[in-house]
Amino acid sequence: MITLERLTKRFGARTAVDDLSAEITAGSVTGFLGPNGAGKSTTMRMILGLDRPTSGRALIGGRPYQELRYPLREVGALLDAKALHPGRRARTHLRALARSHGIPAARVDDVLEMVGLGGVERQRAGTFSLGMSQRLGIAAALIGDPGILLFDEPVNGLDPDGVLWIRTLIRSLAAEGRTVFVSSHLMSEMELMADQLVVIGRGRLIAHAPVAEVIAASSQAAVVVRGPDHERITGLGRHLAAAGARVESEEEGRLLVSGAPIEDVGLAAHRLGVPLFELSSRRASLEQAYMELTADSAQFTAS
Amino acid sequence: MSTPSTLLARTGPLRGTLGAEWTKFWSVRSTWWSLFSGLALMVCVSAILGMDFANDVEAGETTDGTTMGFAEPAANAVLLTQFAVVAYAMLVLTSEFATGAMRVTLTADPRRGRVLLAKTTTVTLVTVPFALALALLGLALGHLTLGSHGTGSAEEQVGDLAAVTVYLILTAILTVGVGAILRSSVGTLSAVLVVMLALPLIVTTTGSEYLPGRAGLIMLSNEQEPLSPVGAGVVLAIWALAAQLAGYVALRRRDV
Repeated sequence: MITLERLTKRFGARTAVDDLSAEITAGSVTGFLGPNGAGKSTTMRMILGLDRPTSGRALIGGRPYQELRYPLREVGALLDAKALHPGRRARTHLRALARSHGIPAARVDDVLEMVGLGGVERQRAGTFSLGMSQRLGIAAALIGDPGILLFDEPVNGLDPDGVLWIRTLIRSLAAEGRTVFVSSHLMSEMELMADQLVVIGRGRLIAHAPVAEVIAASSQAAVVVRGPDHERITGLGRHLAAAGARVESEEEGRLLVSGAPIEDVGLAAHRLGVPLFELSSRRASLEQAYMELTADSAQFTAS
Repeated sequence: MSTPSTLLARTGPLRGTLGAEWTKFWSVRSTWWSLFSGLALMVCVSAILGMDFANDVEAGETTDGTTMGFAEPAANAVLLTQFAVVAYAMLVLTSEFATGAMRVTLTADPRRGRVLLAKTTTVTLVTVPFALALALLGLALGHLTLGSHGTGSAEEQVGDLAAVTVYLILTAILTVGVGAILRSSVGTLSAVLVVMLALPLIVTTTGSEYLPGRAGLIMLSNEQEPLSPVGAGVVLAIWALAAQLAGYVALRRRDV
């Protein structure tokens, strides 16, 4: 488990992370979302003890990262896949990491196989494509078989096969009971990958909830009601609005109802004797929900 | 988690980090280039200095005597040769800061003092035999090129060997410290160049013997005034230690 306690980081006058509190739990994939410059990478660096918080703290299973005796056996992280010496062979890179923890060399071969770099282990890391570098970075994260994994934009630069592979791997890591904290800009990917979401904007926590809940909260999630009798459909709309739902009508005889479950809408129509041609759920995408959440906090948006 | 028994640590954190640094040090080509350059520089420069002197003597063109200490070509050549040592010593830190690999290093061992110690130890373990080899090589070339124009008792030559060796070791340790402060290769190389070579040529006033560059020169030149070689060695050692401490503080305070 990763615990963020009122985590704050200021760079001069700019506040990168602002009073962020969250618990990232084991056994599920927690997606970390936010616009560029929202403080995601800074937060991850603070979790790993690379950046010192201005105030607050980040804890790994209750302890600061600096106090972990064998950190790679508790936490594996992939921050920047290209952050390694380009002249070092992939295998040696992992051997050095393994050596720091007394991990046997056989484990290096295991993780190389696991990420599909078995055949190119003797190549210098600088010759790797971004996709191969990502795989090497993931091998490094897995080397100590840690219970907690942090991935910063892991699907960046991967081809569709690679994306599928990462998604499957991340899902299976969480299914094994590990804590997986993963940031990504790709909403559709996050929707497929994550169970929980931590959404931040301008360093502040905007939402921390299950993915389904975040999507359901979107105004785009609605019940569609359509019938032949415009008058009676409008009457149904008034009735639902009085009960607290938000009702819109863009064309005659058709309503978009949000804030009321589809069952309630159907029962109300039945009670009022309104004939219906359509009663359906319109599901919002995570992307829509995310855009609404972060609309106020996007720092670098095109005008 | 799946195979915990096979992943039990069989090493203490310092030994582990030292082992990792050792592996990393020998797995990049820049290390080999630095070592090779060091050998080449020492061979070429000390041979040229010795031969030049011998030729001048034979042509009757010398102004300062007709003999030269056997180790003197080596002691002078080391001023250039040291930059090969400076190169590999600084790269253990600066190359990692340049690529971002320092983040990987510090996630494997978040104790920054321990990481600096492991890197310094690696550099020292390499520099002790390498510096001794360079000194012996330079001395051998002194004998070869000076011939009958060379001078110096066995004791003096051992003293000179020690001076060259210790000078290089301390410069290497100092460089790692400066690298931890400045983080960039260009910055570190310039700083060490200025401190060890340029400054002693510019600042020669009383008290400058307590600066690392002049202290180093006194050590190598085997003078007794204003400091003894041992005294100068102690001064240089204190500077190397100070650079390490400043490097440790900088490493601890700054984000990576």
